[in-house]
Amino acid sequence: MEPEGVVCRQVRVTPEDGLHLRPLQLLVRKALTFSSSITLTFDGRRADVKSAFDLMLLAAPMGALLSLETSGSDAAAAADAITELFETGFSISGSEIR
Amino acid sequence: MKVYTGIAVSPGVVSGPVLVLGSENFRIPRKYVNRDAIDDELHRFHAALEDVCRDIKSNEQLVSEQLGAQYGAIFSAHLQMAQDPRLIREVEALIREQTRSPEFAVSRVLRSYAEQLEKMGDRYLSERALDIFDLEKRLLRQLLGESREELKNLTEPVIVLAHDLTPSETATLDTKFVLGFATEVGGRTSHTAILAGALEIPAIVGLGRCLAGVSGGETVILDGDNGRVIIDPDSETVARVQDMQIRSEKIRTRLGLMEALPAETEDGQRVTICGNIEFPEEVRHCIKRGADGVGLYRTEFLFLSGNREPSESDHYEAYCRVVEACGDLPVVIRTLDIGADKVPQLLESQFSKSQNPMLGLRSIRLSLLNTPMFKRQLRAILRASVHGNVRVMFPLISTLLEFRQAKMILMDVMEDLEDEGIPFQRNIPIGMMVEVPSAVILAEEFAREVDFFSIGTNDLIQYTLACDRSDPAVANLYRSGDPSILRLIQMVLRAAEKHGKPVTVCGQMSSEPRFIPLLLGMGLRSLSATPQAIPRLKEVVRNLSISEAVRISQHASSLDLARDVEHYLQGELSRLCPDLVDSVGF
Repeated sequence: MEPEGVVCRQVRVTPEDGLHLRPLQLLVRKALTFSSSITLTFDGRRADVKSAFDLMLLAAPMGALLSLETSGSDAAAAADAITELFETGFSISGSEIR
Repeated sequence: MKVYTGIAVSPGVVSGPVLVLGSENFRIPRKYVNRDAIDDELHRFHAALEDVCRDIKSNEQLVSEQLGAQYGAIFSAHLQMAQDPRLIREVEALIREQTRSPEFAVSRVLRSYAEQLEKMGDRYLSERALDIFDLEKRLLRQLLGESREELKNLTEPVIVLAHDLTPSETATLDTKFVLGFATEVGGRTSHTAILAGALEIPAIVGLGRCLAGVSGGETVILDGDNGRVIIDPDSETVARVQDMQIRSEKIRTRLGLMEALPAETEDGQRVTICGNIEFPEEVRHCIKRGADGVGLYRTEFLFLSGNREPSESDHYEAYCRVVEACGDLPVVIRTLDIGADKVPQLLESQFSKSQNPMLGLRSIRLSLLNTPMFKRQLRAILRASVHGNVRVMFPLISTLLEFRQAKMILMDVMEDLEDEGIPFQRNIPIGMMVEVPSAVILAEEFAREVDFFSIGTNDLIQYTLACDRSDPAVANLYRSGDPSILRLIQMVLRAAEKHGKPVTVCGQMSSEPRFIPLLLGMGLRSLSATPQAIPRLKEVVRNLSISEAVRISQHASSLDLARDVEHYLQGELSRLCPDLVDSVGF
């Protein structure tokens, strides 16, 4: 059993260029809508998903398996939302980017 | 501490705060803030951040409305960066804990991100570094307000570190404050490098990417003897460099004694050593070092400064200053030799927009096509010829026809002057640069028609080995010691000897002490070099006998790799002049 308010999952990077600017931007935007802390860990490096620079410097290439960890009052919802972004390959239409 | 290595183009060791010039020339005026002012400085940072965010938002809106949401999204990414919690945390920490100025902190933190991204070797990510620089620029612009400083407004000594400096930027550097400079791009013979020697400040070019790792105001050591830039040096390095400065000062003093001595070998052979100059002011650098004249007066600066084509009197006044300063000593004036790498605005329309500008319309080709411009220059040279010992030289001659055409135009100008009753030197010696392999191959034919040859090794190497000297990817092919180059020089010397015509070598090669024994051994008796190099060249000549030089050149000519030739010559030089090798730090 995971402790209350903490969710751990694994997600895979699907975009061809890795976590480039657009997916990165969508991740930050989504993460900022939650109060929980959200991190992605890759290759021993942990990035705050609310920080674009953290995510950039994570330099996760296509195919990389990342550990997602959310913790806080809306941890479960945050984990679902972030996982969904990865699973849909960040396929959000242009109008939604706005 | 970080060390970057590039190509040393002007000697000397200096240390001081760095002025980093990217595409926009921001200068960070101070590294530290007063501890009492930390809260104010933090406030200033947040205010600047707010302004930047507001600007980005309005950009986003504007671009989205005009170009579409997908373009506006670029700015929403920028906005995320500007509001990034990591950025804010790290900048705040630098201000609060290390009393850094907000300008320095912002630059330091953002550049560390950019540097890490560039290091990842991923093309996509390294391009993100540009976005980071953009954010840095926005923040610095807010923080510095109107106080953005450029090279012109310096008030204290700095070392300039730039991606690139244009020749005109280099030429106008205020050497009162600019202690030295280093650039990411450029080769040994780029115009900027040549100018650095003229300014007599230490300089390094071709460092490769390094700006991302440096913040304005950091202390750097610029070691122009060894081509090293040391960022944020540790105390041990500082001590070692001070030691080096003292030693190189001693050597400079000793070389200073050379200035009054003639360039004469141990066995009494006098060698002519002239100076290469670009600006009339440099003539004093030549005279001071006891040069035998000006062996190459490049006239491009007349075309590069200002926005209009130089008038005949612009030419004339500049030439007279040089000629008069030289008295009886010869001054070789080279006609316009503008290359594709130094296109001035005024001639731009006439340059071929070809893929291969180095093989296009340049130099004498341009002059022959633009006769009025060429004639203006020739008139000024001829008029100046009555004030001293003037010779005229045509660059980049590739065919006999070109030389004959140029000479014919010169004759036309003489006739005009004669008609107008303006005095000039009728038997002014007319020579040519040998820098295209075709001119070497036909050296015998040319030798019948010219009064003198001057071998321009820079272009000759470039054209012979088919490599662009300013392209780091192929710069390793560009070597003065290449056996093909030695053989070409030998061909020119033989042809000239047969016809009794003098030869000078005026490229970068003749400024490098290690090539002097080789060149003298091949039979060369006249050099023209950057004025700064003259004392060193004299020292080599004075420690050498012709028989030794012949032995060295014979052995060097038997080697078949540039690397081996240069290594051998280096060894011979350290045997002949051990102190010199130490001092120039090869």
